[in-house]
Amino acid sequence: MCTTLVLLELTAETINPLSLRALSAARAVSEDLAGLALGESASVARKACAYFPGVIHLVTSEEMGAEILAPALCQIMEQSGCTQLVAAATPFSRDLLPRVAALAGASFLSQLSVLEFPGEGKRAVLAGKGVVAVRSLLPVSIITIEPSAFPVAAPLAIEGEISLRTDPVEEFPGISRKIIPSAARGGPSLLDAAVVVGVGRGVGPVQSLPLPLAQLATLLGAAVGGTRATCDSGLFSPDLQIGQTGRVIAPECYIAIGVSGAVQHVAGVRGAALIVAIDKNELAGIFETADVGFVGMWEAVVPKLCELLGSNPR
Amino acid sequence: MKILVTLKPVPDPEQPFRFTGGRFDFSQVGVITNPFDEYALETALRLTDVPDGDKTVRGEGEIVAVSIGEAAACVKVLKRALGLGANRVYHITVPQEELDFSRVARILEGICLGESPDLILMGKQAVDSDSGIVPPYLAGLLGVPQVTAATAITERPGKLLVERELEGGTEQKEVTLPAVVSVDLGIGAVDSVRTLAMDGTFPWAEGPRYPTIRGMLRTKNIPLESHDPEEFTKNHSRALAEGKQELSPPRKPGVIVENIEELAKVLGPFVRMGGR
Repeated sequence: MCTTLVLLELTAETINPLSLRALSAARAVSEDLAGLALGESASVARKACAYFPGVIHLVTSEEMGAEILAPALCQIMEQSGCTQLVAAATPFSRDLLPRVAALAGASFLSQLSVLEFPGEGKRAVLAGKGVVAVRSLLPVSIITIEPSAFPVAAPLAIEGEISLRTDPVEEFPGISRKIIPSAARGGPSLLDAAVVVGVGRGVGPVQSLPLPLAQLATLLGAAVGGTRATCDSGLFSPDLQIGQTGRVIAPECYIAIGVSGAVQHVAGVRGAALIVAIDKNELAGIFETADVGFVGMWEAVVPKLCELLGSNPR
Repeated sequence: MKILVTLKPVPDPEQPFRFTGGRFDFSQVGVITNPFDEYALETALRLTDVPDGDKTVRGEGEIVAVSIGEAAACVKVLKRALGLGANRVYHITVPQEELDFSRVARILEGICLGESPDLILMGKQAVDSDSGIVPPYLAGLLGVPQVTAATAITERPGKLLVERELEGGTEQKEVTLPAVVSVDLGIGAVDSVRTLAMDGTFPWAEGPRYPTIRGMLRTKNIPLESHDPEEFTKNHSRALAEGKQELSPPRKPGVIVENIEELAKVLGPFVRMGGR
């Protein structure tokens, strides 16, 4: 029995760090937490024991969709007696958890940037231009948090107990599901990098990331993503789209190169501590949002910048 | 195939809104169809178009478009849907402040039980509330398969093979109908919707189509049905209350630096800071 379940997405090697951001959100409003780990690996589930006195491991596989997982989660929530389930907003949770809410008769608070009390917080609306307070009207709530708004939780000095759930998964006829992995990419991920380089249409009609931009990213240990235009053009895959309709990021530093500054893109980066923009068009909207702007051709600016940064590392 | 498409009227995100009396004020802002829902309608049109020489025409399939909210805003988005090729449209008039995801989904559930569509197509989220709860929640209420944020659909007899992008991969999910599918912008690519009728040829233009004059004239003859929510659900309760509205604090004004050395000074501390 617990009051708050925290959903942990397990990969083959580790707990998704975004789930640990949901944990820090949950810790602020509840002392009575349990982990609900979803994934295949028992050894990865065991890592969760450093964070919770009790962890429920629901053994799942890639073939299982929301149709199969939602009833299982609903059952676990009922048995745990929890009043809230907290998770990071990810493609996985955004697909699965509203269905769980429908089955469990629970409320749903999505992408909270502030969790103030159980079932109560604030969320960004209107492409980040506004913030609205939301409150659950039902006894049980499912809550997703905006990962960029919360830090990764630290482990506790404990060794929690695991309870294994393999049984509750029922068949759901007429569905088959598989995941085609995309080519592994090196470097930090968009959501976890301290520095992110964003590439917009202003870099020109290129088929691959221009070398100076790759070099800048390497120097800064930065993740690289694109605007909707450069994702649509195929320069970046859709999961690397930065913006309201793609990934919302909040790095220490965001460097926009050739980015015009469309409303929906800016909405995805306004949480960055520092925004730097380089574009040849001095009227580009991105300069209204940027803390530091430089007007110039990226082809000339970025190599020189790399040279200066490379020769004078701090 | 009978397809139900949901169209949410939203304030045009490109137009500035005001903040009066502690509330967002959209009285001077135009209403548009939620852009993601435009893509859902485009998907429905592609799934029901049939070839006619090197063009396409509307086929046997039926598109029912539904909008919930203030009457005038709903009428605007539904007239456009008719102009684009929807067969029937109706609006359910409910004041905006009485709507939350659960009420919307309950009304849609009631509509689906009456209409029995083969497919419910929706945008992956609305650009005002930015939530995306309703499609998978509705699928849960109906107990049917779901796909959220679809970027490609291939029709198979009685089934759809639907793709969506995940962290580090592409999900391929085959679902039997009826099902709920919400779409992402990728569904507007020229070859992202493959139907049995179109036989692997793609006459689609990139993105959602525009209404033609002939299409808009046609809308005069089609009645705009108006309904009360009580016809579809007795459930008036909401799951969510919205409270105080605030404007996000503006970022402090930035500076334009004149030389690259200054730019390097700003970025210097981040060199090899690495991932956190």
